[in-house]
Amino acid sequence: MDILRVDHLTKTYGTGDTAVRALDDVSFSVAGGEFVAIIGSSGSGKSTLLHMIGGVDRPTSGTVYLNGEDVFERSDEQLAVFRRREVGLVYQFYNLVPVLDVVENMCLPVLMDGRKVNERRLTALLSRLGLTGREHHLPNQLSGGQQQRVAIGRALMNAPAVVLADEPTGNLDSKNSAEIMALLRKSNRELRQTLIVITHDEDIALSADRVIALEDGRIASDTRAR
Amino acid sequence: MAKHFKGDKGTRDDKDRALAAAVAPRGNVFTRFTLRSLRANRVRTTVTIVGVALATGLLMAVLASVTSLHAAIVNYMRSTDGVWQESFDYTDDATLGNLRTLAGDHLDRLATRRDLGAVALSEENAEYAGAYLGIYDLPVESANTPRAAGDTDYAVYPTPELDEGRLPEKPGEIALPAYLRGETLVSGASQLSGVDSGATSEGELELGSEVTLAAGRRVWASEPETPIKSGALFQVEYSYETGEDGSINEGKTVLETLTDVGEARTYTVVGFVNTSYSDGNVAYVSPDEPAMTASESAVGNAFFSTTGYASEDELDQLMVRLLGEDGSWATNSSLLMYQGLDTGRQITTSLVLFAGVLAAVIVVAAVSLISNAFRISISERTRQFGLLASLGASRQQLRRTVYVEAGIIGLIGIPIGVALGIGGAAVAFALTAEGWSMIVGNGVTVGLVLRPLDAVAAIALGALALLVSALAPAVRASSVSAVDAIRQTQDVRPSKRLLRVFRRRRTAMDDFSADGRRPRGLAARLGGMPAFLARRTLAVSAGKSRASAMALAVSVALLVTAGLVSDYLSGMTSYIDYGGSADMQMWVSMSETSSELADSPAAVNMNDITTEISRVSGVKEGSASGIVRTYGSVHVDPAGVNWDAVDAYDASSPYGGFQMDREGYGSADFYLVDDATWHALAADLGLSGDAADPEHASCVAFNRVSTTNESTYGTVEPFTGSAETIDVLLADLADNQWLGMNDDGIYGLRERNEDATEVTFVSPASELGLQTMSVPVVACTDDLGESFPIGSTLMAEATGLTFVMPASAVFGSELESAMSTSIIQYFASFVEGADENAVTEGIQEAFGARGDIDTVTINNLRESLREYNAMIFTVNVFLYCFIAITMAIAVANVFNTIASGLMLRTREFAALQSMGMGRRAFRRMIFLECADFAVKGLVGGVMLATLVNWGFFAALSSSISTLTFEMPWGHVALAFAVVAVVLAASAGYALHKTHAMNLVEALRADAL
Repeated sequence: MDILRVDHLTKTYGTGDTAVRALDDVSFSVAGGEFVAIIGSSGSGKSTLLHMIGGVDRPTSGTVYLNGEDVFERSDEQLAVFRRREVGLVYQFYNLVPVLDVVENMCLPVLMDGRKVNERRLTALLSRLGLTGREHHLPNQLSGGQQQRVAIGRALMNAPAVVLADEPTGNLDSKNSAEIMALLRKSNRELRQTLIVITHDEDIALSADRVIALEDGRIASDTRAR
Repeated sequence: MAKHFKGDKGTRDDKDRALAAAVAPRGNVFTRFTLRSLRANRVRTTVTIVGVALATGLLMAVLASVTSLHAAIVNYMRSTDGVWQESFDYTDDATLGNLRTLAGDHLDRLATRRDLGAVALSEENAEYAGAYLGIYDLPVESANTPRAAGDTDYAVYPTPELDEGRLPEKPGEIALPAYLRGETLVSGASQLSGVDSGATSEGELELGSEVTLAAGRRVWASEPETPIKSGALFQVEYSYETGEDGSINEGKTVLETLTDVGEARTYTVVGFVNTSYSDGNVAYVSPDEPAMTASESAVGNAFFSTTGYASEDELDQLMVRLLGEDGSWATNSSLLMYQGLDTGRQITTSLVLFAGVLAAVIVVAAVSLISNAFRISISERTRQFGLLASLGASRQQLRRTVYVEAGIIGLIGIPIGVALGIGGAAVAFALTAEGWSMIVGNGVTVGLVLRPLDAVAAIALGALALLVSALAPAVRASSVSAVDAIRQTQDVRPSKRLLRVFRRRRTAMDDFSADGRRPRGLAARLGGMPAFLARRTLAVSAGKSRASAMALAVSVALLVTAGLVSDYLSGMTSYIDYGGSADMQMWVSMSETSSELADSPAAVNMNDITTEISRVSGVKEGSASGIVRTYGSVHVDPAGVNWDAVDAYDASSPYGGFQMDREGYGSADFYLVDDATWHALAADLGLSGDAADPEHASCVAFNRVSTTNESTYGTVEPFTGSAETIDVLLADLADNQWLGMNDDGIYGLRERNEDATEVTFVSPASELGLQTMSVPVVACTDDLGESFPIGSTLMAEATGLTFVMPASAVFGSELESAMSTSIIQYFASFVEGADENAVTEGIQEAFGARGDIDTVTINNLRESLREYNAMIFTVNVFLYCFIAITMAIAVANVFNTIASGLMLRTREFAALQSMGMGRRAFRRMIFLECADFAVKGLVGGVMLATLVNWGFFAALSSSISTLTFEMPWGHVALAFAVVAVVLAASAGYALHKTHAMNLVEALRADAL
């Protein structure tokens, strides 16, 4: 059962002579609960692809279907709702809101949706992320690894169908990297969440169910493990 | 950021190098780095340069204005008192030679005149003309002195101001003081014992009269060797002694005497001059006039100016060398004070203080603007600085980058500012030259005066502001660590209060409201997530925005205060606003004073006179009117009187009680008007038939009396409006009798006894059985309409009832003898564009041609109003220029704060949006943040302005009783609008910028 279908996705930045084709007619599908690693050199279009899937950016042509629905048929406001409910995004540079504490950052998508914060889920996540006791710290009072764990907590808090991570460990040491990946992997397995990770890390790529390699905006290879 | 330059890297680098070489001779990588970052952030750089330019320009303008006004005041001094600095008397011409030798090149201009002596006046003449008439000749500037570098625009010592005729040109001619015109000089004893009058004339003095004068020398009685200036005050010592019976005996000792009296000579009066305080009671003769005293001696008065002396002390030393330790001389101290030779005097100090306060305000505003811009610029580049540090840049090098940035901004901004300031001041002075001339007086032209020192001061202050602003950011830039650069955290330093709040929260759910649906706190409950986020951002960055909010508040306060000042100023105009429709007010005075109405041709012939006035070309048709103000006694039905109003009047009027007793008897003012004016009034009030007929006795009751006193303002209406008639009392009284209010508040007959020592109350008016004449009241109003020449405010200044009546109905009737004349006035207006002087002259001639009217004084009310308006305009121009520029500085400040603050948070905004915050919620969040800023600035500003207003009010209300405490709401609204527009523009600009970058870019936006 395909939860995600990317259909002839093309994205061009700029116009005329300076136009850069970041994505060039990319199509693939992902089944529910799959763990996909996207690899490729810098500028191969990985991040662009991830942002399209996450509804952060609109494609030049083509579309993305999530749960059978066309993501980009939505208006900007609807797209915002889509982002807070359907996907969880994790960035290399965390992108936490500097004026909110750990818990507020984690619950931001829930709160923006006006829904009730699930206390059990929150405490469970905090303890699993090793953030117990740090609930009311501001991001600049945390280490890099801790900040990334908050970002993951924020992505998982809504229990989204798809978690998208853009080099989540790119900024961390190996110990922290392993912990972060273990967390994502665990959530992927236990909740049958689809996990799409952009990575440069070979170990991470090897642990994925499937590896898609991008090159100059096109899929160079699409390999399933085992 | 570097990518902005990819396209034309080569040329940009060349330019950078050229500018870098100009700014720092050893142009290096740091200078180029600075130039790039300035260019990369073009808008903020421009705003900062504009701020520096505005601040410098404002400083320049203030300094230039003060210098210009100072020059104008000096010119005023020079035009009234001359340019002389020191003056001394001499009897030997060798003294002048000594002066030349001693002063040498310092002597600039020298003028001399002779004090020919004094003429004693008879006791009769002395009563109003003083004991003496001094005789001076006209000052002559010494040709032997090169008019070198100094003051050449004005006379060394001014010639007397002519009132009529001309100045004497040859021996035998004389210009007398104007107060002697029309007088007859008679012989007889003078106020000096044993000295007879030396001045006689044939009949009243006028141009062409002959006057015979015998002048002597005034000397001290105790030291006959020492002369007294002939124009000086009569030297008398008064003494008071209390006698045994308690009576005070006044003693008078004359301390001087007149000697050396020469032969009497006859002079022809060729002119009348206005006497000056410095010369005294003096007549002027030509410089060729031979000496007048018996010994043919004359005292010389020398006046001279110098160049090159640094202080009054140096001048004094010169005088001591010239005249000896005991010598006496006079100093033109007011001029020296303004020339800066005499320091420490009040006026110069207050001018300097005024400029100082303005300059301080500007420097503070400028420092806040520039340092704000720098702070933002530096925090935006924290990572750049960290990176440079990690690559081995020394702290000094980092600091220098900031200083270079300041240097470049100053290099561009300060010259622009100086030019702006000079241009602005020139325009302001050009616009207001007329008003300034009126303020300074004496027809002195006021224009922009530039002094290199002012430009230097403006540049220095601008540079100082820049340096002070750059100091803190420079230190900060040099303290950025490499670690900070590599860590991606933004520079968020939560306030202590916020940290305390977080510390108190224990469990994870403490962050949320009880139902767990929204964050804790009032903001979230009221405004949802946008309000919550805005509130939190403000709480964290409170310190940063406080400075800008305060700057905003100050400029709002300035704007509102400007409105306040201009309101107060225009409020003042209403006090000189005569309220009536007339442009000219003509006072008619007769030498034969009589209060009998029938005796005054100016009153009896009112209709003829108004017709003649209206025939003068340039007089507006139908505008001529005449009013005879008379008073008489009346009886009004007490039921028609508003007794509450009378009580209110009695309680608060400064003129004592209302002139009417409780039975309705009292004194009233009657304004008798010419036929045309009565017709116009009748038309305005809608009267017809007999009521509109000026031959028919009827009256209009003016229903308004002012109760204004020192502390309160008010008017009351003395009539209820029910009275249909009034009874004018026709009393035939003896010379020592009159009708008036008695101390017990009863109106009645009062009588003075034969030796005029006592006044007795004979009987109440009600018991006198007086004949009366009933006059119908055809209207009762507090507004006499547009065409009535006297304004209601002026009419309301009364102590009793006021009625307007047609003069024609009064003359020849019984009423004529019942009314006494006090003032006769005529009024008229100009035809638009008429030559006002020609018109007033024409009217003078028309009056003169009649032959039955002695003198007419014409006040040009329009002229006074125009002069006043010109002055207000002048003050307003300067006030608003100052406010406008301060406002512009504040606007630049707000723009920098808001726009840069928002742009710095690009990543945060992108993160919020990628987390699912919609555009609408996002905009609301930004709106709330800006609104908070606006409210703080506006509320603070309005509060500050209210305080200032209260200060004004407290200061002025003691002198102007009609003052009410009012806020200039128009200006408050203007301030609100300006703030709203600026905030919207700033936020709009910043959001446009952040949106231009797409979310994906923004999310990974490296500060590099």
